[in-house]
Amino acid sequence: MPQPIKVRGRFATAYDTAETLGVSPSRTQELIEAVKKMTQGVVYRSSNKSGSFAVRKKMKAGSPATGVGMKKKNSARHAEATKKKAQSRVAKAHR
Amino acid sequence: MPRQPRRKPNRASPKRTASTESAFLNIPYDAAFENLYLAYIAGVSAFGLKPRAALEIPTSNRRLERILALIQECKYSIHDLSRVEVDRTPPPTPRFNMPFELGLTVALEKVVIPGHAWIVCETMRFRLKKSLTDLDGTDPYVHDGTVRGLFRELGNAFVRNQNQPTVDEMMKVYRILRANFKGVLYRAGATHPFNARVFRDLCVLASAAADDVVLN
Repeated sequence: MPQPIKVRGRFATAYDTAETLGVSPSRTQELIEAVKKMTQGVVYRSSNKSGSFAVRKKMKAGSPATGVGMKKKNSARHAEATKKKAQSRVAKAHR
Repeated sequence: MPRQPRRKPNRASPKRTASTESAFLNIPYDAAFENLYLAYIAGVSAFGLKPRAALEIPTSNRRLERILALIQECKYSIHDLSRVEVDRTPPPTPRFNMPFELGLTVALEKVVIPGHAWIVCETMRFRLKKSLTDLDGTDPYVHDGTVRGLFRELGNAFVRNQNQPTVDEMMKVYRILRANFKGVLYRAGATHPFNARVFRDLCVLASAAADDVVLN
């Protein structure tokens, strides 16, 4: 395996990249805002033991991310389905 | 009168801050490579590097001279030799751009820019030994044609003392880039991402995402 290359320079920010590539400040700001909108409220958690990485998003009730207009999938719905299945089996047994 | 010892002039030394570095991307520009194209931009940005590519070059300029200048501006270069097969579009031809630009880089590194570091990426293991025997002794980074595989190989190829991105962080940057991808295309009035304006926007987006994901 080849030796990895050491990156010594400063971490390039969006402004550095924009300046080098010739992107206008207003467009740069627009793009940064777009990213911030996506990452706002996102919590990154990593466990030292397992090295696992979790992304959690705080969602407002009724926000599009919670699925407005969609039927809620909750435990009660699943329980209902199970119950129905059990009833039908009982019904079969009584035939 | 005793002579006073001469004081050294108090010169305020200019504040030295490390400069940022760029990575030249020598990759195929075709629809089948779109995912990896975005992944290269995301991965390079996650390492705190500024992605550069021949795409930036306006068609009016003499392309070869600008490519040479661009390679010299960059501290690193990544050469993807995944497209060595003959394409289906008539007349059937292989793509010579990537091996050619790799050759230019190797020559520049030997003669003009000794500090330049370059790596070769491939989709298939052992294919480089057949396609480019002149590079015998150079191990390519084999990414299997997958985004995660590419991030794994970038993590093997580059190291940072601080803020070394994990594969998951690079994936996060990639997802942010993917989510904004259609908007960027629409705004540029483009149908594919292989043009200068889209490339620039994607690079800034990826850098902004890397700032949020890797630095914070």
